[in-house]
Amino acid sequence: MRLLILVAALALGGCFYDNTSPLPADFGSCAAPEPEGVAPAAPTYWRDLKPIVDAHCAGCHIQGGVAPFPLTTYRELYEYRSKSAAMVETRAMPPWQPAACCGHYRGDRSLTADQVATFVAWYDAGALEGDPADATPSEPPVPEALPRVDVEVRMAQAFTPEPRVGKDELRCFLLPQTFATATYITGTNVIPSNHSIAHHAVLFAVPADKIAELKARDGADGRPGWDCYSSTDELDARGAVGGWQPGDGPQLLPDGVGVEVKAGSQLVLNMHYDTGAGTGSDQTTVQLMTSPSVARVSRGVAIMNPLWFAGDGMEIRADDPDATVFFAYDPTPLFSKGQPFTVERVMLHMHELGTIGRLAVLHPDGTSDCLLNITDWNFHWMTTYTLAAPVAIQPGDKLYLECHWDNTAGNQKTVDGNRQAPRTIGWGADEEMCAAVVSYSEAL
Amino acid sequence: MSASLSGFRTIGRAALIVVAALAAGCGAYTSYKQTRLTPRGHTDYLFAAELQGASTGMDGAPMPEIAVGARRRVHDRIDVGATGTILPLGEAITSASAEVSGKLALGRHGRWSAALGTGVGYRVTTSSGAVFEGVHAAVPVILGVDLGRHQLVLSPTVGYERLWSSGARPVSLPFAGYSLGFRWQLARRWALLPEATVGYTPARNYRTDSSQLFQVGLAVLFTR
Ligand code: HEC
Repeated sequence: MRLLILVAALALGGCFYDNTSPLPADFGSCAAPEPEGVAPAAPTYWRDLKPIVDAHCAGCHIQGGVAPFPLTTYRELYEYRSKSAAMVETRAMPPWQPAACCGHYRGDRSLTADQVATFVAWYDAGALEGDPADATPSEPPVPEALPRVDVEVRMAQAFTPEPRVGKDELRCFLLPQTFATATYITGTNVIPSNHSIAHHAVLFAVPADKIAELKARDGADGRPGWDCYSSTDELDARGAVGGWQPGDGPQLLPDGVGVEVKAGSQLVLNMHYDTGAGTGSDQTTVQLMTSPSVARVSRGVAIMNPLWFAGDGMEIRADDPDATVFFAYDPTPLFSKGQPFTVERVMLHMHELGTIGRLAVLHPDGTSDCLLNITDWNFHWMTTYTLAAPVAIQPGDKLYLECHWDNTAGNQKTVDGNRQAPRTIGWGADEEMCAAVVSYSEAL
Repeated sequence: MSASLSGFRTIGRAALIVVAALAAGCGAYTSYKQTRLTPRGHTDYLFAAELQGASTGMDGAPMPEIAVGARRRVHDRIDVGATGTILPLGEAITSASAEVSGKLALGRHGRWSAALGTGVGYRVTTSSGAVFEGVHAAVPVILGVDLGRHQLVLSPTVGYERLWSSGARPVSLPFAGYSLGFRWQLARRWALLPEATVGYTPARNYRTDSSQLFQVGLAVLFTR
């Protein structure tokens, strides 16, 4: 009899268990279809293309930039005209992951429908150069900089990445910079010396009591720094203070907001190098704008279901074309003492098999605010998005995260030229993850 | 990337929730074991305070709980009971469980006695609007040695638990462990039952490939 009850309970599943996403069916969709882009008649490079390419491509497609070839002259663009038009038309370039009609973000790289139409029309009409006299007069671009540099520090030695597998190496370095007194970081500028291999960077301030342990790891394998591919240890309890990704310039926090650095902390730089994109060594420089006091301090809230890292709670079966997980919870009792807060920045994290990532605020009345909607996930362009308009979270609202993966043969990683076979995986550094962090600021 | 990543420091807090969710762990299952059956026509009432949880080997969060239970003899060699536990910490974390259990006296040889237990139960944990549920079944083998009026108890247990949370796949936790307990007969109707349990599950967590489960508790047993 008891066995029967048990079997029945197991068959039923939990009373509150519901595996259908609570998102409305029209989540993130546009209220009205996007209007067709309009191109000027007979577009030329000098008159129509140069402003687009200078502003939206050349930041990366420049000699020494992250992209494999420059797009700074007519000749260069002409050489890549067909691929470029195709990339622009499919919106694969410039890299910008958030789908339209969810939110607006600072530093949006995406092109308007008119710009896309102009690019495509220019290519279709023979990719003409036109007359240099048609060019809109423009200042030669000046490198962006922090309004003030209070701290400047560089990796102690140049580092040449040599990945153990594949093309990526994630390496951590202790920077020769400690903070004698408590400080607030209000702006960061991470400047890799070799853009061709620097893929992204995260800057941490490590509290005094952890430094000895990291010093022991530093150089232990005979190379500068230490391996930090599965760096949740470092990310745990220590906190990032800034970072860099391709195309980033100086990063300023909202006015009056700072990231707290405790007295005695030392800077650690976590570099992601991609040797598929370039060769050589790198010695990154970090510039900081700091302040002894701020009005508001930046805080982060993580979103992930704890059951994902227990047993098979996030099992992604081999050959599953759309493995999906989601999680929703009210962060206010745990993080803000039950008070409302406003989300300023959002970050979503999956690995290479990810396809769709969604972040939202669910309201008790069934409505929702879209924070992030990525429908064509690309691990290599993962970044933090700063909302143009902060979104409020009231007690009773829930932060919602949803991740999708394609674990079929066609979507596997290529390691050393060999496409991997699908395997059943779960939560792990060399498996998958689904996590998000939203940042808000709190009055001191 | 940017400062938002600092939110990962909160993985620690999320891990606390998992520990709590897993803490449906071995402890609640047919706790405060001893081989003696409830006297015929009487009821054993149990009140207990306990700490239980799961640990990764590197960290773990004990979850305090209070438990109440009652048992009756239903057969010469069988008694049955029900136990409920609760941890009411409001929205941050609230957990409650209920279990029905039975015990079959297997035999006695001088001071030595043995019994076979069995229990099935349900637990629900809510944390900030997220709900975690689990059902479990456990089968403890209970071995007792009488020391005068008192009894020393060793009890190996095997069991299985399945956890659910919307948006995650169901998690299976087979587990095995043992407990060491004591029945300290204070008076004819009153006994104190301290008990400590350790268990092991091959289910991985965010740090390690398997997890430890633990429980310590102290129960007051009143026979009426
Ligand atoms: C944020 C940096 C960045 C920006 C901005 C950018 N690109 Fe790229 N682009 C890259 C990188 C890096 C690659 C190398 C492939 C990759 O990693 O995706 C690339 C590759 C390409 C390729 C080759 C694709 C292939 O499959 O071989 C083309 C064509 C291209 N970009 C065109 C453009 C055009 C046109 C623009 C502007 C409208 C642009 N890119 C803006 C970084 C950028």
